[in-house]
Amino acid sequence: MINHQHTAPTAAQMIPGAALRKTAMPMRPGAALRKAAMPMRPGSPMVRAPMVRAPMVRAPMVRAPMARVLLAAAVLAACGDPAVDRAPAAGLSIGELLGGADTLHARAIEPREFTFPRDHGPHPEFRTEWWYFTGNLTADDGTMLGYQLTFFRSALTDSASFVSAGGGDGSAWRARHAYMAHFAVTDGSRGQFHAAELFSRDAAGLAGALSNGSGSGVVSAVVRQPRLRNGISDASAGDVSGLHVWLHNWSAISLSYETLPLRLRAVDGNIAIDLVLEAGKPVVLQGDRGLSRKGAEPGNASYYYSLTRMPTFGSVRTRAGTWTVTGASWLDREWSTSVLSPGVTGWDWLSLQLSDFTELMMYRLRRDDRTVDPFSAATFVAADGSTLGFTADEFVMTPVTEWRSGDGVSYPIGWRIEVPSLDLALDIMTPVPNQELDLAVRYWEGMVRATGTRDGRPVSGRGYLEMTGYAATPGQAR
Amino acid sequence: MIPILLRAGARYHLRHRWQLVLALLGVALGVAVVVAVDVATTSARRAFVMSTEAVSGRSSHEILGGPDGIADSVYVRLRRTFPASIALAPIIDRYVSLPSHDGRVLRLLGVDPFAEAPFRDFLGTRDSRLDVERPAVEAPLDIGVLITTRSLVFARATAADMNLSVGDSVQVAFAASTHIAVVGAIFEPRDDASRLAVADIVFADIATAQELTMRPAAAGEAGGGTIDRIEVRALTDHADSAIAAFRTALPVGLRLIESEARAGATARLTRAFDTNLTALALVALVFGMFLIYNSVSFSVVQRRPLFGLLRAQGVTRREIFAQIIVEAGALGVIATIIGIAVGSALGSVLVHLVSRTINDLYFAVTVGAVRLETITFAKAAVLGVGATVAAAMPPAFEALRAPPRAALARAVLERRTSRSAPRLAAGGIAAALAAALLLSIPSRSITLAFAGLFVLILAGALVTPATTILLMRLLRPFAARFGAVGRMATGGVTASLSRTAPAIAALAVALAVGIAVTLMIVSFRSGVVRWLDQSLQADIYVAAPGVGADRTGVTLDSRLAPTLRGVPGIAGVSTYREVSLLLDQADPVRNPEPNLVRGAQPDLVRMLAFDPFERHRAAFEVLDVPAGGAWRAFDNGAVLISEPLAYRRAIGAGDVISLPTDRGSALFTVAGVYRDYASEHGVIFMPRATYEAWWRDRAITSLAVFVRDDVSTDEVIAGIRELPAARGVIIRPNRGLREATLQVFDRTFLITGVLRLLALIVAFVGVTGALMALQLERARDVGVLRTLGLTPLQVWSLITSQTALMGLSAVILAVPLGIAMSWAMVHVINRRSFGWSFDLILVGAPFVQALAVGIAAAVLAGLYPALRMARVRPAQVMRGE
Repeated sequence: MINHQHTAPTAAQMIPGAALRKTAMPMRPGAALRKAAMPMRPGSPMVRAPMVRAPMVRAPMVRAPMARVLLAAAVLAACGDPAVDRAPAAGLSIGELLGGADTLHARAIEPREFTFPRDHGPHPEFRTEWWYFTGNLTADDGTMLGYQLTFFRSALTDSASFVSAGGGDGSAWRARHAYMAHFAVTDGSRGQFHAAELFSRDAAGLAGALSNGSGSGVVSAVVRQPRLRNGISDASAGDVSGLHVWLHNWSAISLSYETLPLRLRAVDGNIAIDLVLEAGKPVVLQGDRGLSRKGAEPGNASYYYSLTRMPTFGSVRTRAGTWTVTGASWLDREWSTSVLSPGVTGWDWLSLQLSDFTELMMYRLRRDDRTVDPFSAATFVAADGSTLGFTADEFVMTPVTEWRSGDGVSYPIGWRIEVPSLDLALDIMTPVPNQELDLAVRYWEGMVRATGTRDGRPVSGRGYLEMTGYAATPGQAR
Repeated sequence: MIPILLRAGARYHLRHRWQLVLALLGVALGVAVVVAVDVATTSARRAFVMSTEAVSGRSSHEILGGPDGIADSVYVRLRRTFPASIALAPIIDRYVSLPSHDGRVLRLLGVDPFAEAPFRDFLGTRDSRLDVERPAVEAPLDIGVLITTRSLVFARATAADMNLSVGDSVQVAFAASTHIAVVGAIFEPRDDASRLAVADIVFADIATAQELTMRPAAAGEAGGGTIDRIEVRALTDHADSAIAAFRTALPVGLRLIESEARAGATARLTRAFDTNLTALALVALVFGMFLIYNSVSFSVVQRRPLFGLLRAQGVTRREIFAQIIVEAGALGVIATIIGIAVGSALGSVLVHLVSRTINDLYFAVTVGAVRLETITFAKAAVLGVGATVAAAMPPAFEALRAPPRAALARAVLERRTSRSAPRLAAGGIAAALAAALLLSIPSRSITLAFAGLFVLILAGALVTPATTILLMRLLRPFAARFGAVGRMATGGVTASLSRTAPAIAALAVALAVGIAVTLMIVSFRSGVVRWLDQSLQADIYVAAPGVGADRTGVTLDSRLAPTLRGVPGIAGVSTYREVSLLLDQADPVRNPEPNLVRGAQPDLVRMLAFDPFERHRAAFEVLDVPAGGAWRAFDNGAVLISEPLAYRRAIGAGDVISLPTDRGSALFTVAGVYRDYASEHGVIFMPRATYEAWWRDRAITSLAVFVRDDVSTDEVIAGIRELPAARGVIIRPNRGLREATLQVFDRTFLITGVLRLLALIVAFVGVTGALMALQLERARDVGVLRTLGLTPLQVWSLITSQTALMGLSAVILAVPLGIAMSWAMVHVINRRSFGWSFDLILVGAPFVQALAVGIAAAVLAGLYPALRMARVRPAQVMRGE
């Protein structure tokens, strides 16, 4: 909890105003931000500074906004107007925050050619990007464990402005990007959940992403840093082989020149993971050949691919002990500059690894008029790796059971999903209702189980469910 | 308390208004000087402490690196090794000046906004003492802008003061280079305390701070940038054990110290300075006490007939005693209130002198506001009222003791005073012995030294009656030549001893303090001049411009020294690298220095890595020379330490001193102790080679250039100025540096001079008042004399010669007292306060000055009563009977 409690205030400081302005408008920034700001728990002020309940979007592109919204929220919190905190947060203007015309960053407008391993690395010409690892694991004694380790990159300014401001010529601390990371572990057998976050800049070796073949500015920023002698942590210390993504002592580092196997390490207090993710099923390009549209406007889209099933082994430490585990992980990779359309208030996203060696990813974007946005989508990955895409009218996600957090935010933690054309019907439930990440940005993300039928045969599975935008609903928070 | 007594008292004082005013003035001035000094020193200290607290935030510990700071990579490695529960914040903390804004000096605090939250709130999180500017007014605090551009964050008041708004450009100068930065954000501190604390701090992202203060050569050097320190805070329930574990894991050369240790060591730098100012202020208050004693006893004496009458009518002793004390108390209260008012005003003048001296000698501080602390009021009240009541005690007891009938007779009192003179003198001699004893106790206590000084003053006061009687007796034959008037003048002084003695004592002490302080300053200054003449051996000195006393970060372009040697006309060059070291605390495990005084707190000392040109060695007056010579030891790697440091650590040639190096704590042999007045906290001269063996740092802070005899200094200076690496540096010829140093010296003692002047004014006012009262009281005697046939001229000369005789007595008393006090100041107080020694030089000027002031005060005091009484019509006075 330490981390969770004490780095929270940092969120308020992670405010790329420039980026924000570019992202958010056209609207009065003040007004929109104020609306976005959600009340925070009273708590000890020192320990817990500005917590903003900004609704998040998580769909494909949705996670990108997360960093963005978080930053926006932080600005708000920084304004420190108590009245703002007390005001009920109106329907989040996530769309506004994530939309807008940003001419300084590249945008996802049409399908592109993906090249690996280069595209596993960063795309600094886009404003936002993330590496989103989740996984379900089983210990020797049958303990069910889940983990989430996410690295968000967020550009603080565009490359041209950065260079014209002299960035890159002086101090090694100069940075064009900020990183935020979330780490969570769920003990499904004991009903325990722990989450933490870190923030840092992409400079001096504190945080960053590298991959062989990625000849980007991000790389040059890291190369500039002094090499770590006697470094305990070797990421970034020089030869980039495979993929390196890290923030302080949380990292995802390739064990060889190939991207996979990849070693994931994170620790917060006595909660830790040390996992190796091995190559499994091939890359899945989401949406239209990897272009995932989130709105009708051209450019309101992201590039999105997934690694849906990576055999995983390693160890997990929780308060209850240390386990040797095996299981399967899922990586979502997404980068974008603007994504959401006006009116989108949040999303429900689900990934499932089913017992018949298939996977399912689906998300629905919720609009402020309580309807489902037509850009909601799903992807089915067959056992052989081939994919089928579904549009909003081709699948149904129905909330069944709700869980209410301590301060009154309700999340639908049980779902019924149906994909008629696959003859697939599943009930989604979680062994741990409270998997709310009460961090600078507040959302629910956690391990789930699925049971149901496909083609009339019983099927089961495990996966991860993410729900954002609930804490921001008027009247619900506090 | 009987109302009629109070009314009688009030009536009495109203009738003797001038007397009341003078008494009030005496106490008020005494209190005012104490308040002024207190206001000045506490404001300066408070400004420093508040800005230090604002700067160190909530860190519990900090990691200090070597003189060249801590490499970025070290921080990154620590951050990537230790979990987030060990909060770390990289800090750059430097003083910069803004040439674009009148050269205003600000403390530049470079921070990583992402690491800030556990430590400080200035960059805009809620719950902090500070609130970020509303977007409606100014740009919100935009961390992105801070990190991506070269921008600064100002507090609203600071920005307003400099007429800055978001987007404006400012020039920022550090060492020899100047950069442009932009106002990136402005924040509004939430409350007055925060506002004061950050008034002279400008925040920036660590990247910006690094770019603005980067050493010229550092950019091209391998190894990248550096930070000044790392703040540490354990965010776990078991912080102590977490910190302990963290400490053991730190790389060699990094020291983890408690945050308060460094701030405390810096704050302690001015302690001796503050104590000395306070002591001087107390001297002024002591004069005030003399005046009170004088005027209260005067009022008692004058009312003896009244008190006698009252006693005869049944008023008890206790009631009369209470009456006198209440009167004194009221006097004290009124005087204290006036004193506080005057003192606060005076304090705002003094604070500039004090803060300038602190800036010259100790550390950079800007006193944003003069604040009256409650403790100042309390001190003033206790001193003012307490001193008044205490001074009123003896006369009150006097009134108490007298039997009703005797009380009526004034002569009884005078007889008793005369009779008690030998007893008082004996007490005085005892006090003098006690003072000598106190001063010779082999202690290091400054308080004890000042106690000795005050007892010495007391001794002077106690011997005054006897000395006066003796003196008058000696003078009588001489005075008799002037006839009856002459005899009466000498007789008159002893006849009213109860009133003349305190006045003479007050004047004598004031003059003695004047003599002592002047002698001390003159002696010290001549010591400094001699020292400067010896130590400023080189012809030209080259240094980067710096702010404040710590020059660790202010270094020369590393290319300067090599290229300098190519300038024609140069015989040789010495290089200095000046760094500030926080010496280890006494700790048998971590600091094996055997001589270190137990319990010693960490000291901030200056160390210079010195590579001397051969001729430069003559610049050192080595006081403690080891066998084989100090320089031979120095050449073998030993260090020279300055006299104050040797005194403070009780070490000498051949001993060892423990220093924190980049390779851990190490013991260095002391090659010798040399005379130095540059720093009261100590200076260490280390051979450059030794320094480079123990520290990574290779920078140079300043250079001393020796010019060939056949070349003019100006020519060489011109040659140096042409060097590209010399851009922005300060080049001073020997004479310039000498003058600048003496200027600082004189500035330092300006405040001493001001205080001495104030003390003298208090004494002058008091003595004048006392003498005037005395003479006016004798109006009836004069009337009698006039009736007996004395001409107005004779009366006039009688009175003025009487006061002149008193002045003379004071001067004669002041001379030995002044010499004794100056001896104590030079050899005990200065030694203990600052650790340096110099010879007491007896020059004539202060004595002549004392004679002139003493006689002038006395004569001036006699003039008015003399004029008035000379004009008195005898009949009128007699009728008043």
